[in-house]
Amino acid sequence: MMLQPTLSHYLVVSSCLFVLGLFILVTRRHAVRLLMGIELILNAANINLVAFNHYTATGLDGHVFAIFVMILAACEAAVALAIILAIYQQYANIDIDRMNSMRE
Amino acid sequence: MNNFAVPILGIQGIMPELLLSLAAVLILLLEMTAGDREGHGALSLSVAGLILAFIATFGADGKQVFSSLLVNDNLSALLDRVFLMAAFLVTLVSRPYLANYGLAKGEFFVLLLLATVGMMVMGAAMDFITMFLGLEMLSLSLYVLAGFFKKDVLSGEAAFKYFILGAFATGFLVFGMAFVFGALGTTNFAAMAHTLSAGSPPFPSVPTLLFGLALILAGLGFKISLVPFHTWVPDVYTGAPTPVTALIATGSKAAGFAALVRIFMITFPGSFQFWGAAFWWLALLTMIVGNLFALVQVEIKRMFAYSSVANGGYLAMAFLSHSDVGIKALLFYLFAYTFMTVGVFGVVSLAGRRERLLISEYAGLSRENPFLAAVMSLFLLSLAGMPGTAGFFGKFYLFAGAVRSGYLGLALVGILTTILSFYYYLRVIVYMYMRESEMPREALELAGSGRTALVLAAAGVLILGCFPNLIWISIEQVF
Repeated sequence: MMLQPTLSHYLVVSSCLFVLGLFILVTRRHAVRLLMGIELILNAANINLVAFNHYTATGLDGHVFAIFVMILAACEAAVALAIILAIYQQYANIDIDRMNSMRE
Repeated sequence: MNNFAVPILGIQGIMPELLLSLAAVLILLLEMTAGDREGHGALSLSVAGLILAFIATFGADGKQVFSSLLVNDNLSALLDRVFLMAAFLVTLVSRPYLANYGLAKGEFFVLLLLATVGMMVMGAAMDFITMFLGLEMLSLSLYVLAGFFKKDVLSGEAAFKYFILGAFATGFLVFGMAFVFGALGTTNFAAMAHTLSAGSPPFPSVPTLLFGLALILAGLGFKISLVPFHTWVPDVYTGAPTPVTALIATGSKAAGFAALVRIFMITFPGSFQFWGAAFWWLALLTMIVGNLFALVQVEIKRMFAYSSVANGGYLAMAFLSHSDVGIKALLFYLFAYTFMTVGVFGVVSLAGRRERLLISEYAGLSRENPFLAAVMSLFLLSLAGMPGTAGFFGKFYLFAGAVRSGYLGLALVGILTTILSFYYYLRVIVYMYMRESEMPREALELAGSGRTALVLAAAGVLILGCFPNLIWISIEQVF
């Protein structure tokens, strides 16, 4: 018998992605990896949106929202890479632990 | 004829946003073609766009436009005016500030205008999609603005920290929105409220809905820097160019509160029993932590960063009033807070060719430029809540609203922390008037537009402080 995926399956996958994203943000020190963590979190939200739309909603709101999230994630990545490049030109590396010129 | 295209799209409903976007595009074109090196053209176009948009906000008709994606009601019009005033004052301050660094480029003003459009979209959003779009427009512009001084280490660092934590918060927000969408089957606020009141949500929904709302509160809590989501504030406020700091502290924070009002107070007032406690704790922690940390700072921008956190706590108290009273008090305080905060950051931007970083460096400012010292004192007294200034009535309405809803303890904490805040605000005044600087500086010249901005902000603080009814009349029309 084929296993039919249900809403819970999708929610489990998206929660795993979300937690992975959080884990990356907390543990990694490389600026580009942090960016990847953020992408994971946004894509976890996308899976949720599309799955919820498929199983519970009637309209297309969730699908449209997911497309918007993708577009804006791309914009965010572009801005983030520009900022990281600017920082690289200052420090010659992008380890975020070195970025502490402001004292606490 | 007329009802062919216009009523369907509702172009007139987004007139202020359109005008600002148009001004931004024109500045970009001007930059490319005419080589506007000094930023004079960019400044005039921004100012023109902002004033026209401000006038256009008076055309609010309460209609929902673009198939209920945006609403053009009195609340969004008032919020638009807060955002536009913040952007207007910041624009005027930016030009001389940037000229000091030789960086008065058109793109700064373009980004500033686009950030303002983002705020306005957030304030008018009736749908998660538009709210998210507005938030991203605002945030992306602000990330770039925070890192605008590319050669400056602090600026780049501020931009990066702001980006990472901001994007993180956006992730939380979208994840939360997805759960609320899952619980109610729609992203439209009016439809959500309808589904809830009809009592037939499509999914076993109360835990899903509450989980989603909690994530949304966390995501927006980052943007408005409620404790414990405030850790980015001191570094970003210190590292970003000071006019940008002013915009982050006022417009961006006001937009975050606008989104919270739309979601929590207007769409889900019935779930107050669940989210009320969260706001109580956030307000309490934010007031206490913000004020205590502000006490011990030696750098002026860092001190105002914590003072801005503390003000977020006072504003969060409005959500406990749980009715129109809260929203009205919040709106009044947003007006007051915008004037005084843009004012203090404006003075910090303009007090010297290079900024003064430490509070002790403000010694002797009253001698170098009596005008700067005088308006700075006014803004500081207003922030402290002195009667006769805007801050007094702002705090009064907020605290009174909390007391009336039975949160006497919270209001008392607010009053006590306000008294505490007198210490660090007055310390700056003491330095300006009663201490001599170690190395005497020359008298300080103020560029025209910077002076205009400070005069306007000071006038706003005094008018709201002496005649609060002037603004209260339009606030009363919100409901």
